Formats: sequence, C-alpha cells, structure tokens
Amino acid sequence: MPRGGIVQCRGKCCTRRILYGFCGVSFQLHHFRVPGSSCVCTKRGDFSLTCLNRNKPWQSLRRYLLRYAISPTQVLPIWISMEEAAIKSNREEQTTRDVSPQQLRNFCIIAHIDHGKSTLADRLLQLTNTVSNRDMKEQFLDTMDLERERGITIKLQTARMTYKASDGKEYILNLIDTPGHVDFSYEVSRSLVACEGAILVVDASQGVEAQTLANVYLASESGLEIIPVLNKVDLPSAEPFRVRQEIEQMIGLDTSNCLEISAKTGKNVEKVLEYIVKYIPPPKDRTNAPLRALIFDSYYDSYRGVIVYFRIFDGVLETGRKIRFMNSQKDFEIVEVGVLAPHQVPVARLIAGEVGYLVAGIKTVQDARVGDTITLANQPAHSPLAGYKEAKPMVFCGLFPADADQFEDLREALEKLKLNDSALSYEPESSSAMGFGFRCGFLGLLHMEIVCERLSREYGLDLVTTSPSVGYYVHLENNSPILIQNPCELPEPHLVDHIEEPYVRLEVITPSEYVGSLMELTQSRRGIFQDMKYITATRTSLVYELPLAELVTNFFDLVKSRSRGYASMEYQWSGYRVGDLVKLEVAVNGEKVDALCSIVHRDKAYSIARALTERLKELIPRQQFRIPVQGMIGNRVIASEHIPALRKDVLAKCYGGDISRKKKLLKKQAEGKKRMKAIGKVDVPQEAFRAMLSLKQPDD
Amino acid sequence: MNSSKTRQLAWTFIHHFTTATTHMTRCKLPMSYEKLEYVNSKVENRSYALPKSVYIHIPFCIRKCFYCDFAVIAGDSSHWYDNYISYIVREIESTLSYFKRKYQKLPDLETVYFGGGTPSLLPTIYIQQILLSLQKYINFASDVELTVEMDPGTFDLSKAREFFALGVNRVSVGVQSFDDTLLQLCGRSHNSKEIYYAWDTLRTAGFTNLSLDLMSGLPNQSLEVFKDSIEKAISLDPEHLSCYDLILEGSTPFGKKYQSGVYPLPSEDEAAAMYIFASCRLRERGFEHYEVSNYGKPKYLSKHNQVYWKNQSYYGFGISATSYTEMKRFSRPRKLLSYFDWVKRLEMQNGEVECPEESLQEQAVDTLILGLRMKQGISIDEFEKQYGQQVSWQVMEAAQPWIESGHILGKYNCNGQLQRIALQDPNGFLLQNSILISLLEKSLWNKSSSKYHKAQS
Repeated sequence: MPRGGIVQCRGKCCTRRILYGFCGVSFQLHHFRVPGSSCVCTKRGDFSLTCLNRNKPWQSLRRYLLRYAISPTQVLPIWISMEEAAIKSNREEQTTRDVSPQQLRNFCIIAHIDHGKSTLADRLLQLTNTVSNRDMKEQFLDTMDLERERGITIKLQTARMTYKASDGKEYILNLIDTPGHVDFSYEVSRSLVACEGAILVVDASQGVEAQTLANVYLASESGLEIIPVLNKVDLPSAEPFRVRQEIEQMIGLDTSNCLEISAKTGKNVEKVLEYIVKYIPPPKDRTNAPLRALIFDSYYDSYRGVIVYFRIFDGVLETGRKIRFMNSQKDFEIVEVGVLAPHQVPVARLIAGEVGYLVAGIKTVQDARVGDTITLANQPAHSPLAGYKEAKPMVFCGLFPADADQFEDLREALEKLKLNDSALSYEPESSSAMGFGFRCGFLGLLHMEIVCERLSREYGLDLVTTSPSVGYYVHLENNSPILIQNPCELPEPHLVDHIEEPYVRLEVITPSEYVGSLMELTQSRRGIFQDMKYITATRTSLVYELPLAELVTNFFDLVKSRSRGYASMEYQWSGYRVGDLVKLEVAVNGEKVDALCSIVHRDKAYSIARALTERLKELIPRQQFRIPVQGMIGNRVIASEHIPALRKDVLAKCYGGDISRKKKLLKKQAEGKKRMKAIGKVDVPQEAFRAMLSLKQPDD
Repeated sequence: MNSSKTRQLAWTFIHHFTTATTHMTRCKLPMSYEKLEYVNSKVENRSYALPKSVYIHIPFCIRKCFYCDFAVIAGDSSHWYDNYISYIVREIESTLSYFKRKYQKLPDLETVYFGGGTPSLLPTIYIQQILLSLQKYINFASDVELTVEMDPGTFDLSKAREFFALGVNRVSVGVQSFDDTLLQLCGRSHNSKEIYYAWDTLRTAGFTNLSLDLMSGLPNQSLEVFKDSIEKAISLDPEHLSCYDLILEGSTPFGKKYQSGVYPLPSEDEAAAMYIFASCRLRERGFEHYEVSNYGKPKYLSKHNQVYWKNQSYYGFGISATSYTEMKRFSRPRKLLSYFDWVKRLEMQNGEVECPEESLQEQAVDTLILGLRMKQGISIDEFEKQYGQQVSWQVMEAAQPWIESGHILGKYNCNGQLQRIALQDPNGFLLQNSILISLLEKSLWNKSSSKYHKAQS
C-alpha cells in the first residue's frame, strides 16, 4: 500500500466510512490525508467526498494512486456508484448556489423531550432530498453514539435543505435541531438566536409539558415566529382537540390552522415545509453592512482545528478573508467556509442571513467562544452582537479514577471533552479517601451522567464519582463571600456568618390527581410555594422555589414515580437565598470521610444522617472487625450504625477439580476489593460514595 | 460372563499394545531420561514427582441433590455403565501407557479414590475392571488407601462384602444430615434410617476406616438440628468426618432459589456458629481438625485428599475429573459424549493431554491456597526454596497483621524466625478467603511480582 496513511479496511466495510477499494482491498478514507493540501478527510464518510476534490473525489484519488504506481483502473468505488456520486454532487451544487436573502428561512424545532423533534427533522431531511433514502437512518442528525442509544439529542445540529415551494420558487431552509432535556436548555437558547422562527412540536397524546412552555418562553423572548404543530396524531391515544385547547390556554398561540402531523408516518409533513416558507419571515437583507456573525456552536476536530458554526447577521463572509473574533480580539484567515447540508459542503461565500461553518486553523475552542462575534479584520464592525450568557455549571461532583494510575488519563480525557463542551468545568481535587481527582461542574444531572459515561466509554476510564452537590456562597464574618463547590471545604461553623444556597424556580405540570402528592414532595424538599394554575380541567401547573441541592438528589425520579410518569418538570436558576445549613460528615471506623461529606439543612440533618448511615451499612461489606458508621455535625454524633464483623468467608470444599475454580473466585473477590477505596482499615465500595443519591428519606 | 469376556479382550489388546510400544520407548529413551533428570534437578522430591494417586469419577446417581453441581447423570442410567466404564478403561490404558513409555518405571500407587456421583451404584464388577486396568501398569503399594464413596440406600451387605473383597479399605458415606425433613429438602435419595442401616452393613462387612459426610448451612437448618446431627454422627464412631458448609452454586436448584445468608438459609453468624461448634465438639471427641472441613481420628486422616492439599500430582479419570500430572492441571469434559470424543482424541495423541504447564507463580499461588487449608499450614523454608526469597518474604510480611489479630498461627524457631504459618482454628479457617486475598495481593498478585516472575520465566 502507498505511504501517506491509506489504511487497509479493517473489516468495517459495512459502515459509511469506506468508499473505495482496490481490487477488493478497501481502505478507510478518513485516514487518508492528501499530500500537499490542507484537505483532510474527516471521519464522517460523506464529508470526505467533497474534501478531496469538490464533487469528483475519485479523480484526485486516482491521481494520487498513480503516483504510488497503482493503476487507476484498479480503483473501484465499492460503496458508492458513479451515478450516485453524480446525483449527490448535483444536489450539492444546488445547495451551494448563491441565494437571495428573500429565499432564506432559518428555523429550529423546539419541543419537550420525546415529543418527536428528531423524527420530524428526519422527515424534513428526507422530503427535501437532503439525505437520500439509502443514507437515511433514524435520528439522522444525532451523531453521538450516546445520543442514538438513548434516543435523545444532546448537541444542537444544523442542516441546510433546499425546498421547492408551491409558489414555484426554491427556498433554502436552515434547520437547527435542539435538545429537549432541561439540562441542555442553553443549547436551545443558542440555536434560537440563529433563527427567525421556530416549530413548536407538541405531542398530541401528552399535551403541553413543562419543557414545551420553557422553550416557548425562550423563543418568544428572542422574538421568533412560532408555528405550533401537533405531532403523533396517528397514535390511538392522541387527543388533538384537547391539546389545541391547552396550547391556546397556556401558551396563547392561535391554533385555528395548527397542523396535525405524524412525523413517524410522514402525514402532513410537507405542509410543515409550506408553513415554514409562508409564516417564517426571511432574514433582513443587510448584505452591505460590515460583517457581523454570531458563533452559536463550535467543536474541535483533530485534523482541522476548531470548526465554528455561525449565523451571519450583516455582511458577507468569503474564503481567504481575514477575520477577527471581537471578544477574544484574535485574527485568523479563513481556510474554508461552507454550509451544513447536513455534512459540511464548502462554498465560496456566505451572505447575511445564512448559517454555515468555517475553518480557520483555530487551535483552541477558547479563541472562538460560543457567543462571540465574527467580523472582518480590515473592516471591523462597530459593536459586537449581543452574545450569550455563558452556561454556568450548577451541579458539582468529584470524579476520581478507580485506579490511581489513571489520574493523568483522566485529566487528558477531561481536557478533550472540554474542547467540545464548554459547559463542563473541572479543577484538581484531592481527597484523603479517594486520592487525586477532579471536582467537575455540570449543567445538571443528565449532563453529569453523560460526561461520566463518555469518560468511561470513549476513554476507557474506571471512575468513582461522589454524590453531586451544588455551589454555596459562604459569608464569613467581616469577609466577602466565598464560593464553595466542595462540601468538605465548608469552614467551621463558628467562622461562618451565614450561607447562601442556590434556588431554582421549578415548574411541574401534572395531571390534577397527583397535585397533592407532588405538593407534599416539594414541601418536604423545602420547596416554597409560588403558584398553582389549572391549565385545563385535568392538568395543573405548580410553581415552586426549590433549593437546587434538593433537586439534584433523586427528586426527578420521585416526581416521576409519584405521578406514574405523567408529570413533567422544568427549572430555571433563580438566585441565592440564605439557608440554615450545616455540614454533615460521616465517620467510618472513627475516621471522617471527606468524600462522603455533604451540606444539608439543619432540620433535615438528623433524618438524612440516619438514612445515610443505614444505607452505608448496606453498602459497605462486612470486614474482619466491627465498623462503626457515624453521621456527625461538627463533633456531635447525630446518627450511628455499625457493620458487624465478617464471620465466615471460606469455601468449604476444595478438591482436585475445585482448585482452578477456587482460584478464579478468589481473583474475582480480590478484584472487587481492589475496586474499593481504603478508608483507614476499611474497604469502601464505590457505590457508597454515591449513597446520598439513593437515600430513602422517610417522606419519600 | 460379560465381564470376563471384556477382560479377555482387554488383555489381548494390551498385550499387542505393549509389545508394540516397547520398541517405541527404546527409541525415545535418551529424551525421556533427559526429561527425568530435568525434573529431578528442578524440583527435588516435590510435586513434579510422578503421581501416586488416582481419582476416578463415577457420575451415576439415583437423583441429583439440589445443592450438587458435580457432573452427575441422575436417574436410571444403567445402560450407560458398560460404555462409560469401557471409556474409562481406555483412558486409563492410554494415559498410563504414555507415562510408562516416557518414564519406564512408575511409582506404586498409594491412594485410589472412587468419587462421584455414587460409585456404590455400580456393580462391583466394573470397579474391578477399573482396578485391573490400573494394575496392568502400576503396582499398588501394600498400604494403598482405596476409598469408595457409598451412599446409604445404594448397597446391601453382599455388595459391601464384594467391595471389601476387591480391596476397598475406606468408605466415605454421604450422610449430610440425620434430619429427615432436611434430607428431603435437599433432594437426597435416602432417609436417616437407611443411614444407620448402611453404617451397620459396612461395619459388618469388615470396614474399619469409615468416613462420614455432613453438611451445615442448609436451608431451615437451625443450630440445634445441626448439633443433633453432629452428636448422632459421633455416636456412630466414624474414623473420619467431613463437615461442609453449603456452597451455593448458581446452576443448582438451591443456587437459583436461595441467597447466601438470607432466610431460609442460616445467617452468616449462624453458619459460623455451626462451624465453630463442629470444630470444638469434634476436637473434644478426639478428632483432629486437619483441614478446613475435615476431621479425622489420628492415623485415619484421608491420605488421598491430602495429596490435593499438599499440591502433589495425581491422575484423574472419567468425566469432569481433574488430573495434575507433569505440572499440567487438566479438567476433563463434563458431558458424557464429549468425554467419549475426548478419550478417542487422547488415544490418537498416544495418551498425552494437551494443556499448558502451570507457571511457577501459579504453583506458588496453589501451594498457598491449598496449604493454608491444612492445619499444618505452610513451611516458610520450603516455600522459599521453591518460589524464591522475595515472594516468601512478601507472604510473611502480609501475614504479620493476621498473626497479630490472631487469625494466623505463626510458629517460630529458637532464633525467633517464622517457620510455619497456618490458619487458626476456627477463626482463621472461617475467614480463609479474606486472609488468602490479602496475602496474595501483597505477594503473588501484586504488579511488581508478576513482572518479576515473567522476567524469570
């Protein structure tokens, strides 16, 4: 094989990565770097077609192969036929043709989680022939494995579509698919800025949910045109009439000509496209103004550097121009500008109103922060566009490698994740029980879960996580407040004047019969009642102020279980309030365990301490001696349990045939022990550090 | 009649075979000498010495007990007897002729053990066949310990006498409990009455070395019921007694039904109490608690089982049997038909089993695991000689906290050096796994020592 990184097929012919083969020997294009050019194939097979040589990649490929003395006749596309490639390139030419702003429509799809955003996006892509049926797969725009597996969208995704409307004109539609989960609502707000309109998808069987409302508020704040759409009308349980009423009453949108569609079966989906063209206003034509483009997303590609997704508000952006990021004041030369169709297709220029990407040899994501404004270096705009608030981590937890040798690996993995996930924060932490690790900040529990899962899955790390906590402002006497992210850093009580804890405004939408039980729950979690609205005869909205700390334990699960899965919830940061908080510490065998430390409300300290010690008693295996487990405030023991000594740990039989089995068993037991953390003489399993999450409180 | 015919056949077969092989052995002589020398120089009179023990697995049972996960063929399986025994004989002959070829002279057999299953189900003629096929290659020592496992309800006086006449001199009786409800609950095929009958029968037949198996930790078994079984067992005056705490195996009905330490199984504390009671009571009555679960009157300790625990080599024949020969630990197939296929393959390979040799490190682990099951424990000197100073020091150091906590008994010489370590009875025995793990983690299973051993080998 030629040098230059052509790699032989590793038996993955079935994936879309492999495009060509030599006499049956195929190779993976994404490892193929074209010498002497900056174009490199990316992992996404389709993208590579154009990266090599615009629309005819096989030509350049053949040229390079000739250089390595391989006859071009030997090069056979094994995965894609010439005709198909030609069709593809036609389509791309269409999408890359210059357009007038009048023919542009930028919109996003917003909805509560699981109401069918990604399915609708799939249908739209298919209807506009953006993706051929052969390439089509469910959740097309969700590229992360985790997203596909869980059926959720984590990152916003963009796609450019060409649509010939009934008025005979061709329109360019830029779709931005957004996540539905509350943790990622900042992603939603980012995509909204790039749009003039939003399609509000509501599940016709479930109706308006908490996240629907939250997204609508976000969209109307940004002044977007909202088109309500009822999805899933093919379900037998669909109640379009009731849901229309809900939309009118709760959101105040006119539903008289609201579309009833089924993204799954494709019913009425083409009408959605017509509605988009008809009701969503085109962007303002400000092509002549100095360039201003807002970065709404960016990610790091190991071959090409940071790739920036942006929306142009004023002016024109062309390849080869020198640009400046107005906040970071850094200049770069554009290597490539393109549109997302939905794979990256390079174009010569983009005009005001368009959404696209650029590559400019940017080394770190910090240089091209989301929310920054792009302008031209030699013709800068006067003022930047209004950016975004930076996503602030709300939930913190300690991440420790189970094997202390993996600390460096963990740091590297976090660095890499951070490149594409600006909301993730981390700083080194050391704990007497857990050794060295990191205290990481997340947007919410799902975010935390996903980061941990990606760390273990993509980087092969075995992690121990502590129970999540929130950030507290601690006011010392005569001192400015300090922010505490780690409960065990809380100063001694006599030094503390008062502590402020974060609150959220929680909205729960639930069938009315569960109101009582949910109110009871929120009350027991120190919720402060704000409002209760009867939306319709059967559905109620509850608004509470709730300490975030109470929310990050198992609150969401409890809401779901108390309402049999029917309630939905949504929360927003609402500020800090003073709380009567104490540090609850846990001593195992007389030794305080910093990783088990938590900050709780004084009134609840006793019940939590009791539940926690009981839970730890279940989780920590018996050892050769009796182990006291105590919950303490300061030096006062407020709850105490003990783990009785191990009495029997022996295999009765061991004859000829049993030896290898016994050895295996011992090895397994030893490995289990190795995964535990030693606190003094006691081995504590990893689950114990998350005991707080699975507490059974008396009022649950 | 049938058997004499087969015996004749076997004779002629062997006759041809041996004449054919004498030539081969002569050609291979220099090589085998070399090997022998290597063996002797490397491990002096230790486990690599040729096996002096044989284990034979007889898988047939009337029914399968609910806790049992041995390779067992339950129900009426008498139609398999002929076939199965012929394969065992084939295996014995091809294996032993291989050894004979390779080493010329095989040492006399000191122990033979028929385990199961229920070997007493077999007509004695089959046992005789097996013994004869062994004797064709190896002599039996004059004081050979010949044990057969016999379950109550599977034999009468005449059968017991036949076994005695064959030279069987030790019988292990599977009693498990003297409580009828418990026996039924465990799926045993006999009741307590049959136990007494079986015992008397064996004594009448002339056996003077009887062993009795009991179980503790059974579902619904209270300490009282267990104590009662122990007392009844003592009243039978056995020479040897094994008392096993129930091991839940996932594949058995018990394993599926119960969870360790959870009702109806006795709690960990109760099970420990049973163990402690058995240990104290039996020692009081003159038994020596010489292994975790085994008790014997002086001079009546099981020679065969000690071979396992001393990590010495042994032959194994029959389905699921494990052999440990030439440093190779090999388990035979657990299914009847795959065992038959395996025997055919073995014959084609001229009796040599294909299996990697155990590394020195593995052997050290085995020695530790097995040696600490015994009351006598491990001699530090010997351990050091075999596996090196570093490992032995590591083990000693790891044992120190356990000696202080009273779980390990250390024996010192006059210079105050540690000479032997053994588990304390009963506290140490009860925590054997935890102790072993902590010793192994700090010696043979820690990272640096595995590197050290790889480099060495």
